[in-house]
This record gives sequence, C-alpha cells and structure tokens, in this order.
Amino acid sequence: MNATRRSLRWLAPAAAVVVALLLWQLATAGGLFTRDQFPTMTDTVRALGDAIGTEAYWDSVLSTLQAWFLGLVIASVLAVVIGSALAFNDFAYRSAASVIEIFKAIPAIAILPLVILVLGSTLEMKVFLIAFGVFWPLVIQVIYGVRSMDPTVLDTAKALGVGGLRRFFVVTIPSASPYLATGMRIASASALILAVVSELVGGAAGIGRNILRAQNGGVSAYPVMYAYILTAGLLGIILTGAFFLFERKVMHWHESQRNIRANEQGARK
Amino acid sequence: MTNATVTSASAGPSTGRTLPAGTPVLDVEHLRKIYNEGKPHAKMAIDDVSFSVDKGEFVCIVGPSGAGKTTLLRCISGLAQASSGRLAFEGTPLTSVPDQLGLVFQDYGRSLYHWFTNAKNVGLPLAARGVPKAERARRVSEVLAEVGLPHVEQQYPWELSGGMQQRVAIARALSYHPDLLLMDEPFASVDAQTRFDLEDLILKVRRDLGITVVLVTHDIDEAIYLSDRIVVLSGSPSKVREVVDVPLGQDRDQVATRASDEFLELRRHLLDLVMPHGA
Ligand SMILES: Nc1ncnc2c1ncn2[C@@H]1O[C@H](COP(=O)(O)OP(=O)(O)OP(=O)(O)O)[C@@H](O)[C@H]1O
Ligand SMILES: [Mg+2]
Repeated sequence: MNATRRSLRWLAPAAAVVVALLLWQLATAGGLFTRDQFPTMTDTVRALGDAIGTEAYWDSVLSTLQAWFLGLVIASVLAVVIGSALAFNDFAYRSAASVIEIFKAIPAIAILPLVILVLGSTLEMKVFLIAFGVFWPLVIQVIYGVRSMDPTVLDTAKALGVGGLRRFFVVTIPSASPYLATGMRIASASALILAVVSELVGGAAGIGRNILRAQNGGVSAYPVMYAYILTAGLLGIILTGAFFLFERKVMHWHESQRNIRANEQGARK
Repeated sequence: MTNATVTSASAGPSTGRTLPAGTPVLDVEHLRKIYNEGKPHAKMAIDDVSFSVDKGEFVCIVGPSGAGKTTLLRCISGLAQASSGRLAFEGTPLTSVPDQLGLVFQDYGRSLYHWFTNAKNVGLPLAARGVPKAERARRVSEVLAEVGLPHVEQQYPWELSGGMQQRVAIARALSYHPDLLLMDEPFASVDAQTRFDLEDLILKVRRDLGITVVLVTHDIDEAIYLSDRIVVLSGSPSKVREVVDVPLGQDRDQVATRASDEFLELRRHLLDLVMPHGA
C-alpha cells in the first residue's frame, strides 16, 4: 500500500515526460513539422548523446554555470550588505527606494549592448550582466526581510547583550532568511536566463553560443541546436531542484518547512 | 586573560562589584513615558511611577490591561527611553540594557530563536560575553537542569510544549547569572497546571541563585503567591496606587499558602484596590 503510493509519486511524472517525448516524435515524424522547422525527438536525443561525449559540450556547460555562480554570489553579497545598511537607516531607505525601483524596472538585457561594448565577449561581461540583473530584486528582498523583523526578536537580542556583527549574522540574517531564500530562488532562475542570453547575443563561451553556432550550421545541425536548448532546460531543472533541497536543509527550522513536513507525513498515512 | 566565571549554580550574583550597602538593585523615581511625544497622536502610557527593589527581593507589578506594565518593564530594562524621571540599576543611571540584567518575555514563541537548538539559544548570551565553548556547554546543561529540562539540548524550541519553551527562555536569561531578572507576564499563555509548576520553579530558582526578581502580571493571586512586595498600578496612564507588603515568609506552597488567612486577607485588600468601584 505504502510502497505502491510511493512508487506512484515517481512514476506519474516520469510517465508524463515519456508521453511528451512520444508526442514530439509523432508530431515531427508524422509530418506536422518539416525537418528544418523542428527536428524529430530521436534525432535530437541522438545529437545530445553525441554531444555529451565531447569536451566542447562540457566546457560550454561549465562556462555557463561559472557565470551563473559568480554573478549570483557577487549580487547576493552586495545585496545583503547594501540592503541591510539601507534597511537599518530610515532616511537612507527612503532616499534610495525610488532609485532602486527605477533600476529594477530596467530589463538587464537592455544594457547588454553597452556591456558588450565595454567588456567584450568575456566572462566578466556575463558576470556583470547577471549580477546587475539579479541585484535589484535581491536587494529589495533583503530590505523587506530585514525591515519586517519581529520587534521581539530584536528586543531579545538587545536584552541578551547580543550586538554588532554577531547580532547581524546570528539574528538579523536568519530572521530575514525566508525573504532571502525566495529572492535567491528567483535570482537563480533569472541568472541562468541572463547567462544564456549573454552568450547567445554577446558571443561569450557557453551553452548560448553553441546554440547560435548550431543555428548557423544549417539544417543538418538543427538537432544539435535543440540538444543544447534541451541542455539549458535540464540545467534549469537541476538548479531549481538543488535549490529546493538546499532550502529544505538550511531552512528546516522555519514554519513553512515544518508545515510541509507535517503535511507530507499526514498525506502518507 | 582568564575568565572569572561563577562555577556553581548556588553561587550568588556573578559580579565581583561590591555595591555600597543599602544600594537598591533597581531605583525608579517619577518615571513618565509618553509615546510619540510632541506629535498629535502622543499617548501617555505611564504618568508617575516610583519604587525601588532591594537585593534578593521578589517584587510583582500588577495592573489592569493596558495600564502600561509592558511599557514600564521596557523602560526599566533599558529597551525603551523614559520621557522623564530617574532610573538607576545598581546605582548607575540606565542608558542601555545592563549586562547583569535578564529579561523574559511573555511571548516565548517569538523570543526564542527558531533557527537555533535549545542549547544554542541558552548559550547565545554566553557566547556574546566571550565565554569559551567548553565552559559554555557546561553552563548550558547546568542551567537547563536547574529549570528541570535535562536532555533537550539538541532539540529545537518548537519541538517542545509551551511550558517547556518558557523554561528554556528562563534558562537563557539565567545562563549568565544576572543580578536582576525581569519577567513580563511570563506564565500568561500556559495552562493552569503548568502555570503552578512554573511559579514554583521561579521561586526555587530565586532561592538557589539568590537572584532579585521583578515580575509583571495581571493575576493578583499569582502576585501574592510569588512576591515579597507588590506594586499596584492604576489604570492608564499608570501611577502607583499602593505598594503592598506580602509577609508570607520564604516557604510557599500552592495549596497551603493560597488557603491561608493571610493570603485571603491580602487578596481582599488587593481586589479592593484594583476593582473599579474603589476609584
Ligand atoms: N509602541 C507604542 N506606541 C504607541 N503606543 C503604545 C506603544 N506601546 C504601547 N502603547 C500604548 O501604551 C499603553 C500601555 O501599553 P502596555 O503594553 O504597556 O500595557 P500593558 O499594561 O502591558 O497591557 P497588557 O496587560 O495588555 O499587556 C497602551 O494604551 C498602548 O496602546
Ligand atoms: Mg503587557
């Protein structure tokens, strides 16, 4: 009973993927699309299988991941430092709020030509674009998180004589962490998009550039292009999943995670 | 530098400082607190409150809801600024929360840190005072045992019942051996039986550690049962209506003490003070 239920939890999504792949094959092999519009599933999977064996493939995945990681880390550190400083100072917060909103409204891609002009098709270009793109939403999350701290939490810290940097790391950051986690989850997804776009448009090494190259390679290379597109999607899923597990581990104490655990246990019974 | 720490729970207040004889632990003179002072929506929470607490005393503050009891405690602890009046802790004017002051909030659910285990919660003020790790662990188990909670170190506060959580909060406030323990309606959100247990616990702790306690409550029976003296506040904005001595001795018992004639006599007197018809 319990075992069947558990296997069903894995089987259902797997079956859905298989169905989607079959539909793809039917639509392309059945002639709904021509080969220069949309390659068949089997051709694409074969191209992906071939690519996985090459060093160029893994180099491109690593390049994209590297930019994703560096951009995210730089933006997060800056957002936490600047966001907290703004959140603690009412005057600074009020002054900076409108500026932040304006910058947040600028799509990061709009500054891509400028960034390419200044930094060229380099890793620095990608990292800058990603960091710029995710910094603004992140810094807003940090400000909200710190400002919404329960006054009792702060009073307790003062009463216990916990001050300075210790208070920041041991009280402020954990109490703001639900906001930080949400911000990071969204930032991680946009960082990957920005990485691929900067490679696609800016020509820096990575998955995006390989998509562009395959496109230029003519109809015969289309399955390769789709193989890289699929790779970008899989990378997105893996990063989201990794984030989910990370959040579950680090935030296990938070009420929302406790509720999820309790509901899961309730559902299994 | 070696850390001069008090090693046994039965040792008194941990400071080596010797106060001049007769210096009260806490001295409150003509305290007034106005929220949003100078603004159109200014609100006077405390009008004029004076009292003092001697070393080793157990003083309860009672008053109706909204009288300004929490406000008073926040001023006494240095968390909030008084609008006027004089506040002294061990003879020194109060500017921020003194190191030798312990505070227990009513809302343990929010004042205990959910992201830390009970041991880390209790050890936090020790870490902030630079107590080394091994010493910290020893003191944490010692003080958790003192409040009757051995073996909860590795658990999280939210894995405990409400009464147990409040014990952890009390242990945390005691871990650094403060001279004065301030408590704001600490037993208001637990059931009656747990409440009796916690009352007896705090009397035991006070006996064991020789600590001075100021406790806010709106429960007159609780105030009589615990105190040596009771400061009765009027309704908002509060003034001191009367300071009542409670000569019930050191040994108290939930059944016998509460049934004694002295207890009932005090109860009648206090009810008379706080009931609106008296005004
Ligand atoms: N931060 C604040 N800003 C403005 N007014 C406040 C603030 N805190 C409390 N007050 C007001 O001061 C008065 C006293 O509040 P306080 O919380 O001290 O009462 P209390 O005696 O602790 O009440 P209770 O028994 O319900 O806990 C109330 O009228 C309240 O509205
Ligand atoms: Mg109150």
